[in-house]
Amino acid sequence: MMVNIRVNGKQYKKDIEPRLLLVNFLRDELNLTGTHIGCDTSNCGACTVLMDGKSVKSCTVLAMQANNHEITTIEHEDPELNAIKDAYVEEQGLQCGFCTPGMIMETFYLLKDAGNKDVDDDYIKKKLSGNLCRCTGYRSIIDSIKKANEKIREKEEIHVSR
Amino acid sequence: MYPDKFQYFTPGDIASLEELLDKYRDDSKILAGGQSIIPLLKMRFTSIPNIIDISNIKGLNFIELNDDLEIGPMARTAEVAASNIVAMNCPLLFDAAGKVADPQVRNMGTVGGDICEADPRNDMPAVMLALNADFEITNSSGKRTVNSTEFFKDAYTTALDSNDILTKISIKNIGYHGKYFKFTTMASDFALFAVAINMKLNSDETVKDIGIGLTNVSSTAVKANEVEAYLKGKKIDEKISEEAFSKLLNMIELDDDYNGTKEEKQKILKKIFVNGLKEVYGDSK
Ligand code: FES
Ligand code: FES
Repeated sequence: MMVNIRVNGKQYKKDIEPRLLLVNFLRDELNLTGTHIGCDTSNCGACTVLMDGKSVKSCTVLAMQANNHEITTIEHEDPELNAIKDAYVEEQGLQCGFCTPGMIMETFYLLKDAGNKDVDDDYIKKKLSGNLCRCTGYRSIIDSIKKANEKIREKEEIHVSR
Repeated sequence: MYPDKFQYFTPGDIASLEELLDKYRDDSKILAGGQSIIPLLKMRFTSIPNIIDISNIKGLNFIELNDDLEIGPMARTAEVAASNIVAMNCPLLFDAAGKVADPQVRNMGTVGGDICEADPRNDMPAVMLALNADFEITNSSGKRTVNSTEFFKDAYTTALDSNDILTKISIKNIGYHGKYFKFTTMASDFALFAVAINMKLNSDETVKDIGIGLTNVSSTAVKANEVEAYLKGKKIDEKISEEAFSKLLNMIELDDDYNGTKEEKQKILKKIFVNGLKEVYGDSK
């Protein structure tokens, strides 16, 4: 079946099998391998991408469900997303890096979704409950998210990621 | 992991949806957000030859306050958990929706799908039982309303026929106080068990009406009828709560498993139940 999916600002038209999952569409059809498959059972969040600005687990979404929708992945060059990538590097919010694309995409979403709420430990922990990390113990991830929040608010200049 | 092959449809209106369901009946299933059904398809626990995605049908995503609080089948769980209308009129649903799985799953998943899938571990069935919700069900021969107490038959089995569509969730018990107490071993996972409580008091602080639903303590969500009847007209204190819990124990099945022994689980459930009653009663005053 034909799908029309906008990914990171670019329109893709592909003929796919309906059972193709969004994560496989991104990785195998578009070669965007930044989105990872950790568990493949909706637990780990490594496959998190944004669909119309909201985070979803792309291993649990059919590519067909994304038809005519807009997907944002870790490869996107959005300045705010890049600021988050910087913050993760500076605060060492990763060790092996496997969970990181999902963590960063969920960070992108939770910061946007926070509105006027305080981005404190409590808020972050609640919003990060769908993402697992086997390495860091989460402390450095939470610090990275707080740093990212500051960066975005202060519109700090971005350097590391590119 | 790939699901088995299927045909995929995206009808644009209810009439074409009904047509597809009449044609494929048992060989088809409605897909709303897919957060329950896609994992099952991927694990090949089930295989469905015809998947009908209803997300393109306009008018199925609503949250409205008329006489009742009305929720459309495509209202995403995250939208319900962020809705002011829900927060003001139905704190139980508001609280529970924010506790379903994790943020990503809530962004995609729907309250309606959670109900229709009727996995005994799903959160919404118990919440609907506590709320005494009504479901409007539509098929090609018309509409009917089924109360939640008549809806959940067994694990993954509901009063829905193979060509039925859940078109509206109506909650008339609004203006109550309520909360969903969920016990999990991992934040994003299914509940080991959970208790939904919806309560309204008389002016003398006795219970006017109460709804109690339980998740994952039997092959379907359980409505604690006898406990509700026992608590009506009473002021809730420690002693009454414990008595209520002993009545509750007759209505549920807890087993030993890798999460703990039956006794351990009973102990935890008791704590959750007794504290939960106390908390909601306190809020209601
Ligand atoms: S790969 Fe999707 S949640 Fe783990
Ligand atoms: S950095 Fe290794 S899993 Fe998170």
